[in-house]
Amino acid sequence: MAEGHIVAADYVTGRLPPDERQAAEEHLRHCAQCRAAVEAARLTDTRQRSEDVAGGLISFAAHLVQGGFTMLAPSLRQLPAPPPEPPPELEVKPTFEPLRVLQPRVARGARGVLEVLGRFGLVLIMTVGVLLLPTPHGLSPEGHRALALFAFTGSILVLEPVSLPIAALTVPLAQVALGVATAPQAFETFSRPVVFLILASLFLAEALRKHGLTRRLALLSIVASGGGVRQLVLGMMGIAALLSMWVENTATAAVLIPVALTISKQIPDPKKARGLLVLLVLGIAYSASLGGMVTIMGSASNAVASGFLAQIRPWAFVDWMRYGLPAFLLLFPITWWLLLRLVPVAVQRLDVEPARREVAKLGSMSRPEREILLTLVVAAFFWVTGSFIEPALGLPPTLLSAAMVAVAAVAYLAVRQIIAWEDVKGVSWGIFLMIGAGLSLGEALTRTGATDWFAGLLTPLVTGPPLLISMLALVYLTSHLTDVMNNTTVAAVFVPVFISLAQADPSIDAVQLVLPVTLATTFGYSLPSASGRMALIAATGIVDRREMMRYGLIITGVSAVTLGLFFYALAVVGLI
Amino acid sequence: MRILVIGAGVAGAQVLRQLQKNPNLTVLTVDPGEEPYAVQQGIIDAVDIHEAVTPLTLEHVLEQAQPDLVLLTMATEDMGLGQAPGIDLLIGALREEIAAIAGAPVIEVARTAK
Repeated sequence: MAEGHIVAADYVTGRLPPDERQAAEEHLRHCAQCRAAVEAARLTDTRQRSEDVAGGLISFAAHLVQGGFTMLAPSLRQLPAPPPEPPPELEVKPTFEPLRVLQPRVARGARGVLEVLGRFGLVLIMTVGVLLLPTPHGLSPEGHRALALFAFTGSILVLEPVSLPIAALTVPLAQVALGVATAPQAFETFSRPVVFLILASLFLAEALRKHGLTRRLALLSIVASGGGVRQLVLGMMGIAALLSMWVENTATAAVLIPVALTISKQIPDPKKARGLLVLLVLGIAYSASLGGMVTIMGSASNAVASGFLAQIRPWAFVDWMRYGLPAFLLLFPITWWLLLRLVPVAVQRLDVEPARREVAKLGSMSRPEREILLTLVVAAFFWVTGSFIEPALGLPPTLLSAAMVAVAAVAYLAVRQIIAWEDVKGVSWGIFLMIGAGLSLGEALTRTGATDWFAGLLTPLVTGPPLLISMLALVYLTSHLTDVMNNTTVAAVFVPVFISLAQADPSIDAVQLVLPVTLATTFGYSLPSASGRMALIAATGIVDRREMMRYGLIITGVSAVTLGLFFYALAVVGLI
Repeated sequence: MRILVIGAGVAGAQVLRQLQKNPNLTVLTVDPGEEPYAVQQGIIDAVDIHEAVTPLTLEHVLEQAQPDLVLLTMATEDMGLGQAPGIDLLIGALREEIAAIAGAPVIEVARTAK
């Protein structure tokens, strides 16, 4: 017994020795709290038993033996006694079962292995299928093989016979095997500055996580919301977006989802708690994606697009922000407003006292937390102004480029022993390979002339109809394509095509097409395959597929049209 | 002393094997799996509480178990949530959240090799 009360689990599972059980039964007659706890434990126990068919059969057999073979009675007496029936006079208060998420998936064993082999076989079939097709008119044999590479990359990233980073690593292998690149060419893109910019942003995310700064900021936003659900969702979305601008967005969402679970815990009714949880989790995922629109390092597709743009014109960190930030400021409130209208939530206010207690428990901000914040602010300053300061002060070229500033920030945190190599070993390195592979695919398509061939196919869509129609169509198509295709692959294929189109037709500005299409890859909201954030939500089981699809399609549609109109307006007034 | 071991996977099994050396300890296990690794290996007959421990279910689990100490042995691989990108980060953040909000003292156990 603990503090005079009984331990429900021990009582229900028959762990208590006879004298303690007798005392427990006596205690139960007087203690309503323990009666409720026993009933809750019994409900859980019953649920477990009913779920376990094999267990039920064994239990049935045991009863048969017990009833039929009385000669075994002495031995049976040594078996644990069945749980006692509750006294009939007990009046049990109704108790709510907690909301259950993060349930393990059913192990699939050999079937799973066969499925993986089948999926990899499908990737190979699609690749060989493209190779066996007659070479399209206007495409070189190398370009034809690059198309097979595109089929391989697209299908392996969609079907995922292996995890995405390993799938990305097979792209250079396929390039060399298909004869569209040599090994140095295939791996060259993995060492581009933009890849290291993203890598450094992963390390910064780890510093935030390690020292609990993300959680502290989330708790502070809850306290600041005053308990109103609308403000609370806005606060959580704001933190997710703000951090995702500078550090990897899936990492940000992963750290904030458990905080959303803690907030939802306050609501005892599982149905009502689930409504709030769905709203919070979708808000975190969408805003982490939206925050990523703002900077080059915000998402892998931004990094890939910037990598290509930097090859045709001066393209600094601030050039991306000039378009990404206004697009974000436009879309963020629309997304928040739409989510509040689409996702039904039965509660209007929450008690912020638990969050306030958690903040108090954390104490004042530690030295590492303060230094991380300061480092991020200083780094953001140099990311934005580096391209102006560097020539003005006569500093060595690219010293204040985005990647160098990010690496310097990480180095500073390491020197100050705020992060160590042991910490960063655990980050999701996979994105490093994804960006390298995306750039590598784009380079191969460009080198073999496949990009020009694609551009020829797209010319009627881009130059035929009025700009508004073509822009809306491209943005809308991309925003849905990104649900089934990896964002990086979409950017790797489309960006070189638009650059090729612009080089062939002086009336087309590459940036005018590249920016909206790349930013549209943010709107992968409808399927788990759309982005790391959506895959994470699907894995938690918080949002079911149908809900994800329903809310995602509506918000994607509205966001795509808004983004298309925004860039059209910029083009009309000559700002792009 | 009552010890609640959260997770009966590979990491949990190692912890349980060591705790069983002291018969004076009352060890309870919680795991959502049908037949987690510790059960498969015969280290325990069955888990005491079938539950996926999250901030939503933590209170419910602690009420049933009344532990003096909680050992968190939720390795990502043992959680059975698949291989979504970032799942490691999510489980890490979940462990930290559970440790932060649990009433009882919590010790996180790092996973070692099989």
